[in-house]
Amino acid sequence: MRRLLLALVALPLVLLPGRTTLAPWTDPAPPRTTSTLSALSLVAPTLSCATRGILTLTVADVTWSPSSFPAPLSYSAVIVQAPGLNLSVTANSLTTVSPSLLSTLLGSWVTLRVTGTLPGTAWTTSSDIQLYVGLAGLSVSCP
Amino acid sequence: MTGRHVAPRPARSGVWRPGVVALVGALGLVGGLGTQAYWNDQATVTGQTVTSGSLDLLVDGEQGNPSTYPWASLSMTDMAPGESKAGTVTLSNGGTTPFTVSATATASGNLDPHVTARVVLAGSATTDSTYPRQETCTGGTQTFNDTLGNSGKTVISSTSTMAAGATLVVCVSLTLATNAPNSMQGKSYTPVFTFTATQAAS
Repeated sequence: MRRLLLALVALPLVLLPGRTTLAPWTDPAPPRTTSTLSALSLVAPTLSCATRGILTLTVADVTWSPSSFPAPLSYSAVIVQAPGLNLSVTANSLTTVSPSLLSTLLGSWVTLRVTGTLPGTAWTTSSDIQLYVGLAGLSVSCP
Repeated sequence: MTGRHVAPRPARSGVWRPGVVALVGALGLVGGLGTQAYWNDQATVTGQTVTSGSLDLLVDGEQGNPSTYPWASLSMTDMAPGESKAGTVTLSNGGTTPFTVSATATASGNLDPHVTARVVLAGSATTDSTYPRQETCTGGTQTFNDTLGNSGKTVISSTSTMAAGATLVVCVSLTLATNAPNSMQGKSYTPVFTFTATQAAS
């Protein structure tokens, strides 16, 4: 009985090494492919500033050409020094800054930031412009 | 009477001579046997050349190695969040040996964590040129749907056996996540797919 068991154990040891010679072929030079995705960069708005008013009471109109690539961007405008103050945007291309909005910042330069957002995404692009708020609170000047 | 009596020598018998002749003749004949040769014949046969089989996997008819095959239909520029690009390649057995195909893929570039790759065997790629471009693979059998990473992931475990001359279309779509962060603008993504042919078990 022990001889039989020994033979059963030994037989695979004799046969199995022979199986290592049955390795299948593989392609010695497996083909590779490559491609590239590149994400877009939203175009930052180019801001222009112009003042208008009567006598010493002036406001500043800040304008830009809205981008429509890859889709029309949605624009917003803020004064960086007054983050809670959102300026209204007209026709997606104009915002007006009046001195009455900046009463706490009289006699200083402020930063107006215009931000375009690609709808449905978190992607934005922005540009800044400096404006001067007069001491008397009656005028806003372009740089 | 004294003297020796000498018996007369008997005369040689004539019987001996034919015996000697027969013996010599026999020896002669036996000796002659050694010079006999069997008839034989020779013919030369030209041996047939033994040629081993070949195992050769092609991608769109190209070797793809050492020069990596540029998968143009899977490339896209100005990709925005939520957009997808799909493309196909045709694998073919350009050798004589049946094989199965497996594939691994890696990706490099900042966009990698935000791009999902989907691999479909025997699928077709749709086209879309209007924003948001959302191309996809239709039909076939999906074998992978995940990000790739740079460590190499198995995207095709094994195809069915491809006989010599057989072809198989592989469709891949790449999708940039809608919530990809703003910092991903202008970044890139380069996936590399490696297809390995293994001789099919007979």
